[in-house]
Amino acid sequence: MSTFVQIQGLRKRYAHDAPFAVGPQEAGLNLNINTGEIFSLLGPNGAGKTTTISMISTLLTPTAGQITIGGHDVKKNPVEAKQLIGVVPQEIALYPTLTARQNLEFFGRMYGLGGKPLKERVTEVLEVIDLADRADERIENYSGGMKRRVNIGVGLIHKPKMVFLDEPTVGIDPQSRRKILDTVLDLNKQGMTVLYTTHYMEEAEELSHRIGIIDHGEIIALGSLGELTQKIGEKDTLILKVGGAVEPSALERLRGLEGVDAVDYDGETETLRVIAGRGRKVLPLVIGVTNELGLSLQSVKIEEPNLEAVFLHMTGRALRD
Amino acid sequence: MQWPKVLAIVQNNIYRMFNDRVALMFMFLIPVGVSTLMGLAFSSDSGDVDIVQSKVLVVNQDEGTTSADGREINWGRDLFVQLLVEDVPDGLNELIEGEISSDSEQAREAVKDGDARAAVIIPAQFSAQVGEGTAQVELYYNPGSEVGAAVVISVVDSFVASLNNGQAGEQLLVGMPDGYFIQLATESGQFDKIGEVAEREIPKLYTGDTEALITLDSVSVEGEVNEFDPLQYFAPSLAILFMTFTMAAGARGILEEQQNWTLQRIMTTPTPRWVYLLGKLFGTYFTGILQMAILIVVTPIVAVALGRSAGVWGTNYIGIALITLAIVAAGTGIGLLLAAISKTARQADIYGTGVLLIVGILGGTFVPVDTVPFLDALSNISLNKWGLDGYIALSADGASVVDILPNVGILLAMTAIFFGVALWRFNERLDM
Repeated sequence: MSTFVQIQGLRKRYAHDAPFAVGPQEAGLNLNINTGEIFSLLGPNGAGKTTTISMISTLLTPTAGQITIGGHDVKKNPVEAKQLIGVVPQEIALYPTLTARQNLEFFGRMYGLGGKPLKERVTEVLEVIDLADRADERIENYSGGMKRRVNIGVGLIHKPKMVFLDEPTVGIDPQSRRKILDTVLDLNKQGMTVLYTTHYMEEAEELSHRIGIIDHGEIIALGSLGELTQKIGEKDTLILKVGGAVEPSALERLRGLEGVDAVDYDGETETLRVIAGRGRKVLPLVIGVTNELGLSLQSVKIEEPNLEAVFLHMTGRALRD
Repeated sequence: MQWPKVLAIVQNNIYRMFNDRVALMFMFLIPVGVSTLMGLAFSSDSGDVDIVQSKVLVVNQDEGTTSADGREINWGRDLFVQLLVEDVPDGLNELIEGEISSDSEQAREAVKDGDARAAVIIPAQFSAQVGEGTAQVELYYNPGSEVGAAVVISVVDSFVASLNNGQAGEQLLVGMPDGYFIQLATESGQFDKIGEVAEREIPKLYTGDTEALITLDSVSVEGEVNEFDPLQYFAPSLAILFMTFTMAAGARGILEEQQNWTLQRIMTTPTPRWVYLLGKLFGTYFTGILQMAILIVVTPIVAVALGRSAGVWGTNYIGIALITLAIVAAGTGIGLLLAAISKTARQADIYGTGVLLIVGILGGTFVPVDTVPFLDALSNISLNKWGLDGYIALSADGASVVDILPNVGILLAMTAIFFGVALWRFNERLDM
């Protein structure tokens, strides 16, 4: 399988005296994305996903490192590189007072399209995003999910070889989310390479051929879903919903239990996550401690190994943190 | 080939601007409405200029002379004092309240202080110089009192016209070189003719070979005065002000596009930065031209509907076009500069409103400021001043294209400075 995107020694800091947002180690961030694959960059908010994708799409100038897309160095040959990619930013980057068709036509012209080919392509894209029947309504009158779909459509208007999707499902209803995920899968089936960033573990698990887990600007784990979950072996995740706050000292007590690898507490949902080699064996010990601490246990669930557990295992924190 | 992309950005800009009802109202309806209201506020119901307080001081220092046939002549007294103070013709007496003043400096101070609208100062050797063809009369007026000053200018102008058509002629020099006055006489072809008439006719006067003294009966004061309409001031002044706001809004659009990420999205396409900036600037500039053009067409219609003269902008269409092209370029430049020094669209709004209002006030948008020495000097930095002066010169003073070229030149120089600084700032900031 050939490499479509090659990233070597990528580093970025926003000010001379600021810490590196991407590539804090001197070696920088190194990553290859293969032709035809869906590659997901998974990480919590602020992990460096958007900064990385912005550098690949030439919006940000790297402090150091080199990026090639389809063999074109984005710094030396940005026009050729840009022609190969479609960028779908996290923001709804559309003109709200224009219709979906007008937005697609305008950005199509920015890619050098025009005349009949542009009109035909706009019609095709409207079919792909399932908005042909509402193409002539202003964007400002669309629902959040519809706007997201047009946002994706603009990234596809020039038939790119690769599309970058930066958190494309943020803030939309489950039905629209499903449609977007299906669209991504369809595009990939047609041969399009996809770079997908998300902080939703389930999306990365469902879509990706390979996943890069990013934290503090570094890729801390890379591989297929199977390869990543193997990193934590056959470990389970115990999910305990407790009523009330859990003190840091309580978390330390739980971490000290035999068989427990990692513990995280989400104060918002009042949920404890405990990674353990043999979940069922450790569970009584965990429950015992929660009782001693006076925590009111409301529900308990044991999950099979997943990306959330991988992240927790590797960073000691949950993805949402 | 990048020009289709520039065109697409221009079209996008204009289309969105004209789809915004609030922006349209701000661009067209409000300027027409406000200039009409201002025009009405400064005029009477009849449409004539309100000149109730047009006090004119006449300082007659003329010592007189003796003609060849032995007559004592004092042209200062016989012409100006009589015309403006003692025996003011019907019609003119409704327009001007003439008053004798003995001291020219006091008269000038009174004008400066706004106690009088103008002073006509006749020098000591006036009558004697008439014979030599070098007679001069100083018309000292306050440009801050456009309405009253226009009345006096009209009176003197008409008076001179009557001399030109009648029995004698004098060369009148109106103005002084310190910028507070208007050099009218030297710029008027009419006065050259007066000189020719004077050379031919005045010797006859002194040899007694003349049939009658100069009469002033033919002065048509009312007709002349009505040519100046407050709309000639407020239509361009407010059109320029609102145009600068439109330009600032257009340039601010770059910041808005940065905030809503459409700019970043364009930058991910194979579109160079200069293409984007050029498209935005052309779009904004075209919008400004369209706004001014519509106001230039609509305000005379409004004026006629109000029973006023249609000559709000004058009839020198080439001059109007030149000033318009230059003032909109300068407006686009200052708008871009404001956007370039602002971090967000909201900040640009705050800066823009403050700066454009100050620049507008300095430029005399609401009231002329050049009567105040400090503000007079400061007003030179205002693009509004140079645009407004140009338009008024064309409409009220009958200036030629050549006359307004300095205004055009200064506005284009301002444009170059604004653009230079703004583009330098923007280029630094467009790393998203």
